[in-house]
Amino acid sequence: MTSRALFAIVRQNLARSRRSFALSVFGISVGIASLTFFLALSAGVRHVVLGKVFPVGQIEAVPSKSSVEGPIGLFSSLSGPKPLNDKAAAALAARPEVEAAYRRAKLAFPARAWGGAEILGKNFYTELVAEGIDPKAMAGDDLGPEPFRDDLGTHARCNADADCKTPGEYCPWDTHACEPPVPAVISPFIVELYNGTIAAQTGLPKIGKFLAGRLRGITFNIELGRSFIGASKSGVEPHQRKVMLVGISPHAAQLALTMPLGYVQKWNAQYAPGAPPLSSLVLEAKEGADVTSLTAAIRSAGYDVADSGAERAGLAITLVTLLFALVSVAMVSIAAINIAHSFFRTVAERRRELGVMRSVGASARDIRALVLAEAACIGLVGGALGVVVARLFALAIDAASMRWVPDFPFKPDTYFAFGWTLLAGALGCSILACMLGAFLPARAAARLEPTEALTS
Amino acid sequence: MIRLDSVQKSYGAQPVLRDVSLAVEPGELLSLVGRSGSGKSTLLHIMGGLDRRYTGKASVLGHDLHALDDRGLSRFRNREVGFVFQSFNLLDHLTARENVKLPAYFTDRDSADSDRRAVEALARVGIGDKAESRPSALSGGQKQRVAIARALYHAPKLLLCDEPTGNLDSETGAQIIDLFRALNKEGLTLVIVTHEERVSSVASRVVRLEDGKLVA
Repeated sequence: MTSRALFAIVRQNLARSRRSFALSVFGISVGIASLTFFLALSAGVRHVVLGKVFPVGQIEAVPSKSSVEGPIGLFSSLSGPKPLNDKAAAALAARPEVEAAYRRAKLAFPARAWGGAEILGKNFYTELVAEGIDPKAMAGDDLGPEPFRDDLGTHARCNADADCKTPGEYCPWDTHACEPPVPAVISPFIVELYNGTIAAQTGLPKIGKFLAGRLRGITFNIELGRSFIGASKSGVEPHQRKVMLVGISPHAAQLALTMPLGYVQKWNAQYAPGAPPLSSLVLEAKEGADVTSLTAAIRSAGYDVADSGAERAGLAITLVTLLFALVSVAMVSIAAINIAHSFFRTVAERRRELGVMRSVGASARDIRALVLAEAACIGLVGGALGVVVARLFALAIDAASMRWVPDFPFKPDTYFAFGWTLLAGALGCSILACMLGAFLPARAAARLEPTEALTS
Repeated sequence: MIRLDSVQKSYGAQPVLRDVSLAVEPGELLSLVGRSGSGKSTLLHIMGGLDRRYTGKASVLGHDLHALDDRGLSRFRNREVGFVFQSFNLLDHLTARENVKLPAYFTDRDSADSDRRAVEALARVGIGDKAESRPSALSGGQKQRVAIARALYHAPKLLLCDEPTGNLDSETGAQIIDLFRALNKEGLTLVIVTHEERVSSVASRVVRLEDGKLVA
């Protein structure tokens, strides 16, 4: 039998049993809609959580907090954690699983910042939480107007800002050298946090794409060695510096102003002489699968892996997805059983007709193909309908969220990710479930002896 | 054309055919008569490759039917024999034309002119104007003509008819018998299972089955 003939007979059969067809399609479409919906929701949430909130493939090595119990643990905790220095960082960075490594150092003394009037209308004052990072971490980011780099170290002497001829440079009173503002970046996390909480609470404008563009190039002041809470115990007099925001980068520290590593290390040496040279080392794995072995390597080197929450978030998402997917699979299975029942009934009803087909030349294989093709058609239509229903339901939820759910950090435009793989998989699953459901009836129909069928 | 050697068949312990040997020559119109339950239809099904559960040898149109697998038997039924049944066995959801071209669906390649051929087959049996009618709109005689047209669709060499006039009134039955006679004159070999004398009267040979045994 040719596929054209097969299609013609299937079309005739479906056309005459519209009610049964509609019921079977409805059953399978409910299951597929549910499965598609939850898988798309999971993929969407995973994309936001693991793509934006906790980037996967990145591991942060930090000095170890001893987990050894008993006298040995006590001894090791007294001796302090193994410091993370340039040598140790270089050794970890040289591992074959590592695509790139970025050293980081936290600002280890009190500092404060103020500014923002040029974009928000008034100055804001805040404690400064800052971190230094290897400038190469920002290499691929779209930053400007100044590059994100360390101080080049060659400065003209000055007594006042007017003495500095290079645009943007100023004259700090403690160095009497023309310096450019310190480049700094913030993370999208901070922007989301601002938009979701501070902007909502204070009525300030949200930072969207337009405002984010205007943020680039604004300068503000920081004071090193003194904050609103306390001052540095180093005895070094507080100094002021200008900082220029050069962009928003996913490579920036999540909850700190991020500056080039050299600045922070230099300031730490002045205001916190005992501070470790590095607070952490960010390692980017070549492949997602390398993360496990890299984590083990970090631990065996005597360091800890900072808990970003990604692992737990990923696990939580996976478990919830699994739960809903299981419910959906159960629904699809029930639909498949219903289809099996329906096809057994159909085969019994069409027994004589199948005998006629056998008498005019249909082989057992043709009969089996007819039943399975009919089931595949139900699966195709039911699957397509299910996917459309899931998509519409998702659109409704996104629209409702946009309208009624208050802003929160990382609130996405959509909670769903309907990739082509998912859609094709859902259709495939629907067709497969229907064909599996029709398998036994198809076999029974194919095994029917022509004489038995004709005399029924 | 047909050669049966010691064909036997039973349903459980009940024998239906006992050592039946029969030869049918090309161009014959053979009438197979006997009482109900004598094994006529069973023998016809064996000749047409519908029933394989028998012992002995059945050779039809040069094929040893036992030697053919399901696919080979299906091709044999599709191409080389045609069946006409007492109860017509038309598919109610199809038109007369669609019923007639049913065998075309079970071939290995698509036929672009299957509709034309179906209409021609209907015209050949005298109901070319009923091509788009469904079985429910046809009389018994017309239904049987549609069934004959379907059996003739692939121009078989052998037509096997199981009580073809059993559900028809005498006048319509006579018309169908005339049609069979005309087809036989065109060279078609027919084996007709019947218990009606009028059918046997036009046969070139009459064979009687009694309790599964060939008696004449």
